[in-house]
Amino acid sequence: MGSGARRRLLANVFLAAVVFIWIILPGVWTICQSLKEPRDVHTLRWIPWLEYEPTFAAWRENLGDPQLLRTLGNSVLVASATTVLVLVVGTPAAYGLARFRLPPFTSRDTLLFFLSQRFLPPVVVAVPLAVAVQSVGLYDNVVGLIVAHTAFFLPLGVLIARGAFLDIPRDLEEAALVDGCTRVQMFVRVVLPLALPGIAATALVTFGFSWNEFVAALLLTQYRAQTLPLFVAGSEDTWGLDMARVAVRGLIAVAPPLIVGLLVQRFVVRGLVMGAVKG
Amino acid sequence: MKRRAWLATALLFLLGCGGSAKDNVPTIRIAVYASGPRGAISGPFYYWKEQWEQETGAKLEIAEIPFAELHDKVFADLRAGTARYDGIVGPAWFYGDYILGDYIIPIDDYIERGTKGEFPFWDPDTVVPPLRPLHMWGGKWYGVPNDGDAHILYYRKDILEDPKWQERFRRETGHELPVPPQTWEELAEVAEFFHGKDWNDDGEPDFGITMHLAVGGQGFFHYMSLSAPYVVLPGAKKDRFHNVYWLDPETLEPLIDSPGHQRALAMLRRLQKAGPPGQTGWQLKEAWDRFLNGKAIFCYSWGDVGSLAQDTSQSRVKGKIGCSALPGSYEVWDRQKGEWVRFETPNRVGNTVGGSWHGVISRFSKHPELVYHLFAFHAQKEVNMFHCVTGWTGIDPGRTFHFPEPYGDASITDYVSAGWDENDAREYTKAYYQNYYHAQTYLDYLRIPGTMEMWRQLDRRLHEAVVDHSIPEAEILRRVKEDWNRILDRLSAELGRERLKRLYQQSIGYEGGSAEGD
Amino acid sequence: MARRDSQGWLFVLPAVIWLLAVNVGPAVYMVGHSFFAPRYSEERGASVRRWVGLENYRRFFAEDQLVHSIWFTVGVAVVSVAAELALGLLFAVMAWRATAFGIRLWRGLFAVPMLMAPVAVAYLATTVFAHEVGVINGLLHRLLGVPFESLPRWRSDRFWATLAVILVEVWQWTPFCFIVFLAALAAQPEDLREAALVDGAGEWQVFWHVTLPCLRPVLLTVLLLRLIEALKLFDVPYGLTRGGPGTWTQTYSMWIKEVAFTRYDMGLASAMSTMLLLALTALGIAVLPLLRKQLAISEEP
Repeated sequence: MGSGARRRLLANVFLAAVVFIWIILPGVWTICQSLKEPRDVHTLRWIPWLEYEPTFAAWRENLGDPQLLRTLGNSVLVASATTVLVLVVGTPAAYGLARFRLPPFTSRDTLLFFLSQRFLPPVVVAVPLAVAVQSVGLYDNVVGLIVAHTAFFLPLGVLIARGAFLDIPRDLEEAALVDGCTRVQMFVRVVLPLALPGIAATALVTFGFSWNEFVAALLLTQYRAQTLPLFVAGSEDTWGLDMARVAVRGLIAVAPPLIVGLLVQRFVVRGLVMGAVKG
Repeated sequence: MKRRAWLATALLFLLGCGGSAKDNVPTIRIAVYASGPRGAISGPFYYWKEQWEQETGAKLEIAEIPFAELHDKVFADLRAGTARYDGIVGPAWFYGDYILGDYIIPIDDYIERGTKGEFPFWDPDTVVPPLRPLHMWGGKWYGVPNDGDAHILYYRKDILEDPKWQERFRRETGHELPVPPQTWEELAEVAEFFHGKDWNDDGEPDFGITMHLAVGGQGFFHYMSLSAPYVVLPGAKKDRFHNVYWLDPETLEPLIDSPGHQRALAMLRRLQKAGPPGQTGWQLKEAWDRFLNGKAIFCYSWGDVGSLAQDTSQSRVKGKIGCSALPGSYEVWDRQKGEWVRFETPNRVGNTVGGSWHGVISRFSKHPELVYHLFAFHAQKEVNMFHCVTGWTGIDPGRTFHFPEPYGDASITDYVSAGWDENDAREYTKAYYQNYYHAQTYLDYLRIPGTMEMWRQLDRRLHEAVVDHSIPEAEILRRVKEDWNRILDRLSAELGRERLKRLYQQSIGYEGGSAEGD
Repeated sequence: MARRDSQGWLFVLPAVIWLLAVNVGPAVYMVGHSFFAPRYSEERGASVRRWVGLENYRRFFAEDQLVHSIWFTVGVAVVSVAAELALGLLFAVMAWRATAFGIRLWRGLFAVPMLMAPVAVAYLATTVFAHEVGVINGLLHRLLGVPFESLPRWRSDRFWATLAVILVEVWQWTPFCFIVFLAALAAQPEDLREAALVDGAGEWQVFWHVTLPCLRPVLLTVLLLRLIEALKLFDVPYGLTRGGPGTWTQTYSMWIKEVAFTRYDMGLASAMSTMLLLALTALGIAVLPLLRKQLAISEEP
């Protein structure tokens, strides 16, 4: 079909143009900005060497900033721990929702409870939470932030993982039960390994959301527990926004989830799609 | 089960990280707005960190907080008593909240002990008189001087003194080009004359003035500086009608909607039209850039402009600038009489707008002496002078030893050897000296609880005024007044009106009496 | 299969408790707190609570800028979500016939924006929307010759600042819609389409009458999800417009944060949170039938 092939070509050209404007241009621009001297950042120059003399000064300054190491470490810690907790608490819940009726409610009602949690804006929770963590001494403590992030991203994790469990045939479980496993043993030994791709998707999506979260990180930390998004927000001082600095810090902050996300695209897409379609 | 053990270890590790790792070295942590190791205000603390740590054997941690969040973070810490910050390098407008909660400690005792060599020495008398009250409350010192903030006027001396332009100005307007302008009206006329002309020969039309008017970008300080001569009536004492700017000291009624303010706001809008169209979205650096790049005749702002102008990596105007204290106004609004008063010479109001960023010591600190030591270290003559002459530190003149002869005991070579053009340095220090020592009256500093909120609302309403000229000045100022009354009413409900009034009177050094003068 | 249902709670309970403790608990506390105001006692910094009834709610409605934020937040959410859905669908339709490699490529490239931290996006966008030297205005000036005076003021004009916020939102979340729609298109039964084509229907007719109805449930859920997220908008105006001009682009969430921590007016912040909870609950109840139906599609144990 000649017209089909031509249409496909046109569609691809169209998408290429969109991707160029949408993704490539802003990306290149940001990298250019990060390579500029103070006198060049407020100019519309694109091409290094030709239009301006590139410098790694902003990169050097920010990579050598002691705050970077601290906030980066905290981000890794908070996002990893949140992911682990969401898996530990969330996958059993997802399994329970996928397989059991939960008297006196139906499992659908219980699922609606999880769904309803996604309606809660972080700021509504974080304001009283900030007061609460102050009183229990977890203010400016990664633990406080991890507890909050786990609550924020648990509902989504549960939904994604539930989808994964629904895809597993029940006969396998029944066979395991017949073999004398307890429910819990069967869950750990038979179901979890089978649901691994779905669980990987849950983990990746949770990690990404936690890494990027700003409101709770802003309200629950002071110094020790600051995460990377706060380092980015710190690009602005009384003189205003330092364009080269914000470009460098922004690139540093978005790089890890971007690299991971692109490397294991399949799982991320799966997670997002499941979270959306089944939820 | 192995996996479970692994998880447990991970959790323990997490908790361990949460708890603090204490060792024997005393550690202090200071809160400062985030600007990095080579940025304004925070930079100097990194610069001297190692030397200070060696000198004291203590450890210094610098907690950088995004500028917009500094207030919320500092007071969240102080309210909760979590003592995350031992010292706070904050602006003078925090004092109302500091004092209300009794969150900071006086330092008179430390200053005294400093004279005996227990701490690095700085002399309180070296702080220029108008800045002293910003570090004090109720006669006691609380803050250690660091940065002196005040607006001065920068202009292109080379252009304004060029006979060619003076001749053209005379032809167009029929009178002499005033160098520098003595009133805002004169300044506006000169700015309008140059605006749109290509006076720097780059083939593009250039600007008369450049201002930082973005919301959340400290644009309201421009307005404060500009409005002061129209509304601050000089007098012998700080009484109900003289030398006050913010609120009626007897009733706490906001004074922001007077005819003086309306005229000032109209002037701000007039000046704005003689500047670049984008300035309503600019913060300091973007606005300064136009002046530093030789695209604007005037810029009135903080001392940073003068020192940044010396850095040729970002400036094309080194050696070409002139400076003066801010222009004044011949007419001042007299609230008592309800009429304009005309003066023989322009009413010039001494200016201390800005943060005057300096350190105070948290009451909850376990090492107040170390914190004081650190701030005193930075306040020493040699260290502070180095900061003053170096552009990136963000630290501006405010100590007597910053001024070269004939005004003080510094030498102009201090500036020249730090890379300054000699003429620029003379202009710069002369303007600051005029501002600090030659004014008839001063723009007093708002330091009550709720200042942050009041200024934020002022900033927002002023932004509405500059982005939309169709709203009448009176309407904008009415909105500010309404906002402020709401804030003051809430604070009154919380604290009691009388207590709030006492705090306000204390903060401005009110000398009582309602009908002095005439 | 023999179900011992009470065992199910063993699996679900930890998560439920966590959510009740960390999400629901504080929210309920806020509701209670909205009827109180503080009064300082003379002791250091200590304040006592006093009952004020609905006073905090009255104060909310007395402040125009707070009320305005409701309309702004809702308006931005509706417009940007509509644009995201439309663009996402357009791109997905363009991409779904591509080869397997093509799909992976477009999907991978388009995933970039939504993997980025929104606050970083907002700050990075300031250089794109800067007045004379931003990418957009720079191009308008250079390529189309728009004079400086008439360039859009992205950060200081009500209309353009609103549009800037919407554009950033759309930039970041259209890819999400795209990816979900692409998956849904790939999953739809091919035979129905082919049957329709064989019957002589045109491509467009097939799209309207066969493909789109198949996508309806997915469209609705994505719409709902994005709407919920968009109503929480905070990071983008926080970094890009600072809530300006004036307080025009200050969203409801930003106000709650400012009222709570800058003003330290917890009573008003609680009242605002409570109203938001009520509104979202109402929205939830309104879409409940839809959700139930959607869940019924997935298997019920």
